[in-house]
Amino acid sequence: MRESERVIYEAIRKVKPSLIETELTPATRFDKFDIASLEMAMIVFEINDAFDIEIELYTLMTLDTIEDACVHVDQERRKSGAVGTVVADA
Amino acid sequence: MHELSDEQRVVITGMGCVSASGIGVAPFWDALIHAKSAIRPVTRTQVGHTITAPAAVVEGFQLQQHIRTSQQPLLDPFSQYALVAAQEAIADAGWNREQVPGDQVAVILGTTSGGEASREAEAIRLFHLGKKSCNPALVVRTNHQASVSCISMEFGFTGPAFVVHSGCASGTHAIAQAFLMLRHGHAGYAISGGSEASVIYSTLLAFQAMGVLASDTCRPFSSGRSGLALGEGAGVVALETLASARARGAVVYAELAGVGITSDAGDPVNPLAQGSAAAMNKAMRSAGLRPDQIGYINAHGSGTESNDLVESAAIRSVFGARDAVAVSSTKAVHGHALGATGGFELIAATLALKHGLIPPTANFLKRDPLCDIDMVPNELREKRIDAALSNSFGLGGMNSVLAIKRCPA
Repeated sequence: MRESERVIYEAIRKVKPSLIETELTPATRFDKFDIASLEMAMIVFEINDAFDIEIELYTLMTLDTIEDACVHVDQERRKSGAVGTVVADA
Repeated sequence: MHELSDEQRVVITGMGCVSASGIGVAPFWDALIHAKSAIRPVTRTQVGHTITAPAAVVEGFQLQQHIRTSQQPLLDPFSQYALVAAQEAIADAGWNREQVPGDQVAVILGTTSGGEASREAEAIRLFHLGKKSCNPALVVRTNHQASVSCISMEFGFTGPAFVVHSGCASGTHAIAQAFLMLRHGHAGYAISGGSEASVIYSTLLAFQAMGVLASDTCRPFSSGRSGLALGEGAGVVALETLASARARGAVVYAELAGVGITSDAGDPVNPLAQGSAAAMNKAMRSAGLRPDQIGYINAHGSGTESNDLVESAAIRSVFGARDAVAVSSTKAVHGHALGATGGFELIAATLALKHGLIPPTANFLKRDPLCDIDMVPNELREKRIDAALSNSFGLGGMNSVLAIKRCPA
């Protein structure tokens, strides 16, 4: 599992404890879980904090799936120099 | 004093507690009557700085072990404690949605520090770790009103809800406010008391800097005392009118019969006996009680030199003879839980009345001749109590006293 994928799962489950038992996959859509705007802000915060990157809240809100988020997070990590290559993650 | 109707009389039908002695009223009361102090040396470290001080802390608390709520990520511990204590009080009172309409329930709690733990953690992130972004939940977690809003949302209570913030008197002021709202028909039921979760590095340091923290443990009214020990948790009561309790066939612990609120207009830190005495007199007048009817006072008894001497003098000025009324401070067991302490101590006084057992002042070494009152030291005292007072006095001369009495069946 990619690190970005793992961190996104952890962030979602931390902010939405009701999803602890729910299976999350890269194909999981964000709109499936009725995530409020503050909750999404908290998810973004957790991801930013974990990778020391700065994803804009509204960027993540425009993404459909966890896979989309992973791709975006990995892009931001590369920009910040946090990872050398996405290939290594994949 | 004119006769009150059952719709105007306020009774306690439920209690809930999260304390350093455990989760629930049962471990709390057991600790009180057996003088099992929960105060221990507690160490808190931030950014390489460490402080160790005596305190009574809630260890290993996990909200999800007590209640499953989607609010969890938004709740600072002071709100989590309040929620769990409220849940117990509601269950204890046997409230259900059919009998107790949500729009008739007020939620009024006290707190002193609110979400101080969350605030401290965020300050470390921002100013020490150099993080640029702030936790989006910080405002919600640190808002003082979070402790009441989480309860109103969880249980669907849409009556009046707010937080009272008056230092160490917060919880008692909150209960007094709830009492007045029920008496005057603004609500039919109330969840009231207080919560606190501020045994953290910065709070311990601040109290230590003030010179009021105990060096070993809290020994109220005792020779050899050295100050207060902070505590934390939540003490919550379920209140309703006597008419409602009778209609529901509820078990009544006691009648919350009167309140007395005054301020010293004196000193920022040192209390005045006149203000404390006036609050006790007002509470008894409000309850239609005479001093000779009061069998027990759960004192503010913080264990500081300043409080204990002044409170002793105030009690003697109101009650006269030394042995006129039994007194104890339960802070030697649960610590000074600031905004929560009024809730803790009303529960203590109520159970003392119900069981005819006066919880002793734990950690008591020797009588202080300057605290010449009928202190109950270390061992519980069996005594039928028909009426009792619970005192809370906050910095800045904030005085609040609750009067309870046995409720006829």
